[in-house]
Amino acid sequence: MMTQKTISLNEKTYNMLKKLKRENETYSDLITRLCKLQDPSSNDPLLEYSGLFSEDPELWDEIEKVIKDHRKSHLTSEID
Amino acid sequence: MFLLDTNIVIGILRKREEILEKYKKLSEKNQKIYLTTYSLSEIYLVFKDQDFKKKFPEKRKIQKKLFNKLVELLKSQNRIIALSIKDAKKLGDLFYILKVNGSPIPVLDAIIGAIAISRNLIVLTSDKNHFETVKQLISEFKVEFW
Repeated sequence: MMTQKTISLNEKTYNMLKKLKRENETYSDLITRLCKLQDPSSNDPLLEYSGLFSEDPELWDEIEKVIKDHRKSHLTSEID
Repeated sequence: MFLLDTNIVIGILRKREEILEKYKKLSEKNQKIYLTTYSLSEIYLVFKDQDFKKKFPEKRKIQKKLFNKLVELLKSQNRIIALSIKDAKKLGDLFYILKVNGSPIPVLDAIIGAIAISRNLIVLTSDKNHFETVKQLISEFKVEFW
């Protein structure tokens, strides 16, 4: 079960948040959404997915070699 | 504006520290960073790798599924480029220049290079050899080696 934390806000900040809160959005959702706006990685899918290929480094070294060799096997000089 | 070569995309996805740190800095500056459909095809080739298929059949399926999601997200941000007619004209010029100079390079490097020249993008790559050739032959070609 997710634990709850209580934070104190002054009235001005609370009213600012209240204005930004969307219908059916909890304050946790709202704060998460605002935090994401400040975090560039959340807007860049490549950063969000970094680590997708991070396991099995030896296999990936081999795979990268396969890609490199495949690319090298089709040279511009072959096109006339 | 920048254009990622396949080795940089894989470097980010492999969490290669040096590449990832440089990429984060670039991303933080809200620079427009593109990649090509040709890099996607090279990565899709990965999922056909026999070793990968045999050793990690389930992992390969999951990674492919997640990679498809990543492609959709990049597509929604208009960050995936394919060869346009304008790019094709530049590619023809580049093929000719490489041929008359007797400097063959991989066709995919030429395609990525031509797209970058045509759209005034800086190529980010870890492959110095072939893109260096393009740089020497075409002054307007911009590249950074990571």
